[in-house]
Amino acid sequence: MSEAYDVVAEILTGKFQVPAEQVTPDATLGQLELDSLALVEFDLTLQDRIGVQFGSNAVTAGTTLAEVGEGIKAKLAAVGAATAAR
Amino acid sequence: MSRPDIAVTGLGAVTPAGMGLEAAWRQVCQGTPTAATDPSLAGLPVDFSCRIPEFDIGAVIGRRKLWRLDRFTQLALAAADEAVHDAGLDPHTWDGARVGVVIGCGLGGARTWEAQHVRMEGLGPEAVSPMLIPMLVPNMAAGEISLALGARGPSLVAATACASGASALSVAQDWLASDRCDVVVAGGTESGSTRLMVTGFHRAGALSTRSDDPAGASRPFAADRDGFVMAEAAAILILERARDARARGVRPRALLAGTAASSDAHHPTDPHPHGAGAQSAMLVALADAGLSARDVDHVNAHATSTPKGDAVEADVISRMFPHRPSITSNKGALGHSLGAAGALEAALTVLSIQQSTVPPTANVDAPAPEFDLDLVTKTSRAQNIRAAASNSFGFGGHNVVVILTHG
Repeated sequence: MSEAYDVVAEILTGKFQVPAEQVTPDATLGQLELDSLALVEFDLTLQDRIGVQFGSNAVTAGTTLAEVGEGIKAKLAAVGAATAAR
Repeated sequence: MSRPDIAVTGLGAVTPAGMGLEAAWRQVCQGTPTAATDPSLAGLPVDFSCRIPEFDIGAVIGRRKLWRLDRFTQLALAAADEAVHDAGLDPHTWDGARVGVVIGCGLGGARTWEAQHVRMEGLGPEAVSPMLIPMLVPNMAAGEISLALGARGPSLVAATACASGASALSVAQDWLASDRCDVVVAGGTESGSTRLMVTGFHRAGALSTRSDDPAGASRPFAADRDGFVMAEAAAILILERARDARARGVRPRALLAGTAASSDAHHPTDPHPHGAGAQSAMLVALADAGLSARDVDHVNAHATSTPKGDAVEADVISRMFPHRPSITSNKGALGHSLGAAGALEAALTVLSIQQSTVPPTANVDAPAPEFDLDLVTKTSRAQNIRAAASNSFGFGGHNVVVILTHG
């Protein structure tokens, strides 16, 4: 998987203490028992860690970890493109 | 109908002596202090405290919830887990609707509050954690214990500053006596030794400034005492009606024979100069227990090591108990854990009764000459104790006295 996915996995096993064997690309955040407040905290932690934040309701209980990783990559690419265009 | 006897059937604690009430008991019996220079307070006028040594709290209370709990709630959960096991109760099988939770707490999640305030000011409102409020409100200690144990009866946090832990025991007594509950998980918790809170207590003139000798800083009733030492701790007592305990084959560790609370109505932070409120609480607690002053064999004093507070308490004790019962203060060894202290000291008093042992007051060779007290110092004293009083007093003029007797 990507570097972005690895950050997601690290936040889940680190801060949220999710057992490593449950952290798989097709697991959803809801399956890992992140409730609505935990989802906001998860998003906030992404911002702290890599400067990417999805904002309210963009990451839901139904989002898979792979999708979060892809979303991060897309956001980072967009930021990179915007910087390059400047 | 006479009031039923209330039994203490389980105890648990997390203290600067480590995980478990037994560690705290060993520490006070050895009379060795836990106060030390605190790296998290570096550079402040008071840079020492009594910290709980590192331990794997996630293994006790569950790792998944650690991120969403302030430390004061984590400590309360760990102490509650120990106490429930000690009582031989099984939260999977008990009637949760008949189990109450009442916890004393002075400050709540000060650590979370301060950390999130820094984020707000530095990074903006979008950086503030959604868990700020659930983590900092003091009632969450009771709420999370209720959640962890499936205790669906009444639950609340009592806040009477440094008397909070004792206030919780008084509420628990009422719930059991009035048959609102069959079991009450009662105690206190605090983890408030943050840079801001320590500095706040220092600015109020309450703390020892003995930074060159932190271990020797907390010296209750000593002539050269100069203030208290901040500590973190949680302590939980399981209370139930004595007849219910016996019916399930459990021998009470001790009886919670009486409690009383009074208010000074004198000054926001200073004790009444003659301890009128403290004395009133002692008198009413004795009456509540059906005892007279001369029945009290031992007093576990509030004695935080402040010049004024200790003097007033010594004066009241010697006036109330001219027969000179043994006196100790656990704060020489364990510091002052604010909202936890009243519960922790009640738990240690239960062990004094059970083990016929009065621990010494750490750091004290003898009480100040003006105090007429039989203060236990240097080594533990063997003593058969039938009835003991545990005092707690708090900012706000709160006075709470708990009477414990041999089960």
